[in-house]
Amino acid sequence: MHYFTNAHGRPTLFILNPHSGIPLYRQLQEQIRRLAASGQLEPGTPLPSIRELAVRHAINPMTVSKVYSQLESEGVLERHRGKQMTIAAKGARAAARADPAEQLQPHLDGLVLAGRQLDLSLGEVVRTLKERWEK
Amino acid sequence: MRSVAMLFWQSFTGTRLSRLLSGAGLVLLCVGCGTQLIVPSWTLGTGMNPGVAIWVQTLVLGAPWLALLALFLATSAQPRIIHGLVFGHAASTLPNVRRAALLGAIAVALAVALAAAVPAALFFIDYPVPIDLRAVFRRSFAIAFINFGLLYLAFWALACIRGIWFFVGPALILVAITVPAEFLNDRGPPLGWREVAGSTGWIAYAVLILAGDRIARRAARWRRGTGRRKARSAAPAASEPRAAVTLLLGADRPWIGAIAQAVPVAVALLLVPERGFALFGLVLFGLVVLCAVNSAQSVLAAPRSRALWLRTDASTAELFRRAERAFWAQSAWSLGTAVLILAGLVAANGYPAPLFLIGVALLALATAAGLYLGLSMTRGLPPIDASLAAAIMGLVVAATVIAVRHADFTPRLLACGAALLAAIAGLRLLARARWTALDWMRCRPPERA
Amino acid sequence: MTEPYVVARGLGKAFDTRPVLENLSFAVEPGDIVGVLGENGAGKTTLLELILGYTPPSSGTVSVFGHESRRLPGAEKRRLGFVPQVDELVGHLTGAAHIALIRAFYTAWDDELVARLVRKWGIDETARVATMSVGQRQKLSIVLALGHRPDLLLLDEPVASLDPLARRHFLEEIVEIATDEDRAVVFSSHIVSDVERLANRIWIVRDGAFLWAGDADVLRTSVVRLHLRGCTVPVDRLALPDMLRFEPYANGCTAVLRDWQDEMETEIARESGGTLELERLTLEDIFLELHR
Repeated sequence: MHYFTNAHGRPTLFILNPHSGIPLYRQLQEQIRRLAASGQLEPGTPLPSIRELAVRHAINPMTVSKVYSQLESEGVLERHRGKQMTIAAKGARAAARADPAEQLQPHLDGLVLAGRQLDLSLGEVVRTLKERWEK
Repeated sequence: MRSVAMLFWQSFTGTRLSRLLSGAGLVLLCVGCGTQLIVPSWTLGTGMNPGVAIWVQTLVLGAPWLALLALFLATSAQPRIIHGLVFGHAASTLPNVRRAALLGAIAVALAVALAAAVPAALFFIDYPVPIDLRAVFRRSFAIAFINFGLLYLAFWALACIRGIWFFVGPALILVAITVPAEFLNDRGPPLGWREVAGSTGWIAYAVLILAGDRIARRAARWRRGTGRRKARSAAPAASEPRAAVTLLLGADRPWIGAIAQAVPVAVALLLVPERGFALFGLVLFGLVVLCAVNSAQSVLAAPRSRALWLRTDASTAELFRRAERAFWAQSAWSLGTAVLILAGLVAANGYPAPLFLIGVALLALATAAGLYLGLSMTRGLPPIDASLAAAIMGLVVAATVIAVRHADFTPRLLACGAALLAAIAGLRLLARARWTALDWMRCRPPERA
Repeated sequence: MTEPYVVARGLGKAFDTRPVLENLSFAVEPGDIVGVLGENGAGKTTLLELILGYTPPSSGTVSVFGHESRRLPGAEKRRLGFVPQVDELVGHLTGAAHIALIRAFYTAWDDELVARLVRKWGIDETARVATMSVGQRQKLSIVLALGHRPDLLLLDEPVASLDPLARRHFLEEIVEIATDEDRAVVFSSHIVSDVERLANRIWIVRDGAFLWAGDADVLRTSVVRLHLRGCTVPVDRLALPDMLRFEPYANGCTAVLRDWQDEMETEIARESGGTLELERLTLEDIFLELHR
């Protein structure tokens, strides 16, 4: 399990950036899906409670609640013993139903556009990507 | 109601100083009453060592008086607490706050009035001539309670130091001192017109608590609406440097001082039944205090001078001279009014000319003292400055009392006058030195409340 | 379905003849965090004061907990909390004395919460309020408003004087309040990122009227920046609806649209013959674009 450290130096499962153009609920949704699909969060792993996540990231608990409900209806998460949200047994499959490669598309579009605007060749873009990946 | 109880408690113990004063007051009260019960003061001098008798008498008579003073001063900040609760947004969130504030104010005044009335009644215990203790208690209690209404109102006004409220406070204090002095001698019916007049203090206090916020806001809106503020701020500040200085320093409304001089005197003349020379003495006393307080508005100059310093290339020493000039110009109005009132009284009663001259001299000295005291207070109000102010004002009052007592240029009076002149000269030097090294961080903020 | 905590219909406020707010209608439900944005002088403070009942409306009505806001009975006032823009504390009292004074007005006071906040925010209780810094006084004002656990909390620029750490702590407290579905928060702020992360409903006030009043998510997805490239049709002949900004260049343009729907994408792509790139905006950008 890979924990990111957030701005306070505390381990956190997610990185949420309110200043990017992407709405917070979508960021959270994608990150949970990604972590479930890749197997980094195994089935049965409990997720932080709504309150805990909201307070730690200082975001509206309704946002968290919405994401959890949405993912529960998709089958990625399941409710365990009343309140606790865990990764569903078939969660990985549910998340991967959206093919991981498919999930990269919007990011790739941005990369392609930027590369074209900067007048770079495909080779240069791939080289820069490789460097970044290896870091 | 817990809130009323808490307000009562905080009024006596909210700060360290008030806790000290309340404690001391209670102790002194118990000591005074206790000794009175054991050794009634009027028995002293009979069958007791005279030396000891004097000390015990002082203790018995002085202790309750000091206790009252201490307790009253301890609660003198209560109006500010009430102001904070009742004015502003707190009134919309705290449940039943206005009611609680009024009850709290009344409760505190009742308690302090009790501290005044109990020793007064106890004084006549086992008196040779039978005296109705209950009647003494009732009368003292009523007078004290009415008086405190006026005095708390005065403290509230002082807390809102802004323009005219600077005088309303001392004016009310004067009225509170002079009017009830008559009550004590009055054998008239318990509810005479004077009691009613004095009760207006409490009515005004209650109105302030229950509706003051709304009144103040409506008044502010009305003032905005009539555009008076706009007219003043569009003053030719750029074209006339002196007007700009006066405006920035806050010395631009001298006629308020004059009005604030005339009104309390008129009220005193109406309410106080004394006539003849006693009245004259009273009026002179009042005028002297009001002159000093009016010119002490110069205390506003130091924090305001920062704005001037930023806009001109004057040094702080130069600013001191400008402030001095501006406030003398302003004080001249109230001084002039006072001199006119004095002249009127002297002429009307045919008093000798030296009396008039003494009066004018006193008024001028008081004005100067107040002005330079105000200018010296550039570091907030630390205890040493407060003591200095109290001492100088004490000197002014002493000079007035001596003048009224002897009504002529006696050596004692001349000595007092000389001492005052020296004090004023010293104050001016102090003020100038402090302004040269002015540190605006230590000044009081220019506007309060 | 519980009743909304605040309901306003046609609310307006004018000072003498100058109108400050006109014809506002809104509701605050339990569980809402409402962020109020607007330029200085737009009327945010007046709006909060109308809800508080501090000032009477000139037109329309506003009711809180089912009562007219001006005539809120004492028992209902206990469910209300307000933090003013400029603190109104009594200067000569100590922090602890002040807390004790305010505490006495409420029957339900959370001592533990207050003690925790005082400790966490580093408020020196033994110092006199007059000697505290502006930030400390603001923190104390907030604590005094939170102590009785109000159901409806109104805050007027509560973090203006707070350092970033204190601000973060404050946001966490607001989130804690918001996790209780029976409580609602309405706060105005200039710090748009705070509103962005906390608010589920956003009111943007401009010149006394709502420029936007609705869900935060809807706002975020409605106002977008569009980049069109490689258009085959002359750009100025394209009919792009609700444009807040339009910058054409060769074979393309950049436009900011106000009411974006996802279905519009295919339509525009087809019409223009070029490629469409959709850029999401931060709330601050949206605010600036709406104000052009």
